[in-house]
Amino acid sequence: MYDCAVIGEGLSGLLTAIWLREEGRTVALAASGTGKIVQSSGLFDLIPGSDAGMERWMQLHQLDDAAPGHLEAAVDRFKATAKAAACPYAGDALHAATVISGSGRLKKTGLYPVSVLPVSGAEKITVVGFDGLTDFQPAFVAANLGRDLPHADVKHMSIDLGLQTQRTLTQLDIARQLDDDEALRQRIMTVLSEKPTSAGADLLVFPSALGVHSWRDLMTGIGTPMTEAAGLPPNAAAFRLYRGLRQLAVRLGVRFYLDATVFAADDEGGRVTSVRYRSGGREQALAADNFVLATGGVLGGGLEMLAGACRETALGLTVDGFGRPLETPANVWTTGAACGLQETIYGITGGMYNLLSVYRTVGAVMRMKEGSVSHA
Amino acid sequence: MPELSLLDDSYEKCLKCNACVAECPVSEHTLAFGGPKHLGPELRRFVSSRAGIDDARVDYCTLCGNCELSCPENVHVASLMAYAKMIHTEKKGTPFRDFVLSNAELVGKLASTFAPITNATMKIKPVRLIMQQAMHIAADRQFPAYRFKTLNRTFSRSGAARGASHPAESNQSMRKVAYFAGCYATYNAPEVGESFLKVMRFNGIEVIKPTQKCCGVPMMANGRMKQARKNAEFNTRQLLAYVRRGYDVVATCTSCSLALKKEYLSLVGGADAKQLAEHVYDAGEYVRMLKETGELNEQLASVEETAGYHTPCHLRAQSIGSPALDILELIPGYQIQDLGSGCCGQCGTFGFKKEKYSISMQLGKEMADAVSELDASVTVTECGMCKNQLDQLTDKPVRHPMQILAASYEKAAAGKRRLTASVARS
Repeated sequence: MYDCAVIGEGLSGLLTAIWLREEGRTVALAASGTGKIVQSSGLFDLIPGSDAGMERWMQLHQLDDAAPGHLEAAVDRFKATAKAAACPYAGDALHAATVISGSGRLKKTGLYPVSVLPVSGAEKITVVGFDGLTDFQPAFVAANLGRDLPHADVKHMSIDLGLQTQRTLTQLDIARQLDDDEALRQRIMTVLSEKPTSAGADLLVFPSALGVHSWRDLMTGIGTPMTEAAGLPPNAAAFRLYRGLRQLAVRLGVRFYLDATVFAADDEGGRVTSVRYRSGGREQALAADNFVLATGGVLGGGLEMLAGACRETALGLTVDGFGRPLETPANVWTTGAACGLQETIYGITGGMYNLLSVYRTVGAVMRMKEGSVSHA
Repeated sequence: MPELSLLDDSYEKCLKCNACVAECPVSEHTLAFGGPKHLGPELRRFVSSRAGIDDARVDYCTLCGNCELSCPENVHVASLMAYAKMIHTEKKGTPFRDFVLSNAELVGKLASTFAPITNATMKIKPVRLIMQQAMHIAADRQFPAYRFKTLNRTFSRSGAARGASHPAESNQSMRKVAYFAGCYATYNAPEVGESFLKVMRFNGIEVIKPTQKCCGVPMMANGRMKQARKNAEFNTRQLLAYVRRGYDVVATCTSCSLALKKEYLSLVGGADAKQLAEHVYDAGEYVRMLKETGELNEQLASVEETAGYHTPCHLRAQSIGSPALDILELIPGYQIQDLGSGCCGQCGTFGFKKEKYSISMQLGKEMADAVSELDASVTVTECGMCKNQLDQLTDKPVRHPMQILAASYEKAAAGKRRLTASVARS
């Protein structure tokens, strides 16, 4: 029996579990698979695909006046958590930064891992790719970047790391090879200092592949200011955040129930007493005082679109056409993209909304007194 | 077998999201492995309307199951990998080395019969070099010790014949346990089995050890699916006979319990496997269940010790949280912390193989670093193979949770006896 069971292993689920555990609650996290955090870019946007600011964001999510203050507190807490997870973040909620994406186009974002450096007046930029990596094409990136930064001199190059494989080489693969092999890291540093294309640059742009663990060594070793471009999955930035948060949760004592597909709830007097989950061919129950649905939206699998209707997949809650629960049991909360389709654009939340949502959910669970109803 | 794998159409749901590749411990450290997405669902989809394709890279799969845990679409990635391994083994044949390594039970019987000689021989360097040359077993790999006094010998010596019951210390419990000891507790670590028996005795639960064969996991990991199925069918028959008489089936090895709970559902299939699976528990899970139902004897003496806990992949795959932590936290003074470091890299027979040894070592490094960073006095883990890797890579003693729990019960009982004696004297 846990104080709280969190369902879902994405950004919202992991953060909810960690923050509740830090408040001294016993927490279980059940998930049918890895959350969509692994498919993310690792950046936290207010509104995905848009440069609009706080006002538009508040309209979009129909937020109250307290939201900006809560978001700021949530961002501070997230930064502390990310630091503890060995994956520090920079940036803030109110002032968007301009960063380079994996296509070479510039984009605005709120929070970014410190391996990402916002664009600020560099004049000689060199885009550095790796041979065999299809998800990052230096020539394409350089051409797009040159268009967005017309005053900069943008060059490109590719380094042959000598990696042989029959599988598709991803940014995560390269990051892991760099972690395992110091000689490869040395090779990058040597090539960069010797080649005229890179030697004179004042900013180097890399794919999100500079080591899951060894990125800091590499960045210090290269010396020239540099940035990882936010990239396609699987990339190092998203993986660092996911692994970091999960390891932190495990070490804090969150109990993980993996390959556990929650499909129903047992309730008693308007409260859920346990959830049922399927694992392999077996069905089991997980009992807790409180339940947080961090199951995601349509992409995450928490909601399903039917003809003219929406279905909540984990507990079978009655929901409206947007997937918003119409009646929630007193000890059940939804958080992040699971709050309904109106919170997502192109299927995703962008990240900032999750921080606010989790912050408020954790607060509500903490205020929950046994047997009383205190839904905000 | 192949006809079963045809029934598994879960590969249709694969979105190629790469979550499985991101979580695969072997893909993490080598590009020689094709990875679970490519060799599981993608290969299966590719050959769905034609003859199977043998891809030698599947040899690197350890069947740890992390791919299946990570899949958001519930594709049976590990099962698909197991069938790909079977196809590979059937086409290429089983090398003598893999045949030996996958026969954990036979090796256990032989090695423990000549235990002092086996253990001494396995430590001689020239012998190990010859094994590397002739058998392709890594010369630097340490082997678990074999015991002459196997669990079968001690079990019968303590008054119960093999297959007969082990007397409970007190008779309060209505529960009866059929113990699936597995090869490791039988031939390498009878102390683990004995500790489990003690814990059950302190809870008044009668334990019998039914006739059993190797659970089949080492065979599956080496592509010998047909042999694994034979063992699975035998064990299902044996254990079900007890389940139908009201016994709970409990295992101290997490690979064995995973096999009984999950693998047999596809290896044996049908209502029998399903009925058995519903009554199987990991030992820690069983004790935790006793606690939850209010049946647990909580007369536990304090054990002042710091410990790091390593989660075996095959425990994580059971979707039961961390029962070892839950039960050991009941012991007063016991301070245990999850190492949170992923796969140990031994991966059963994988880490013994010459061509995989360096990957095994790289995998183990993260765990070894976590052990030294935490610097607790012992490491706790359920899996004998994880222990083998911990023994090789760290300097901390490694214990099964049942050993810690048994020691706490015994200390409490000794304290009670002393108290009774002093009361009687005064």
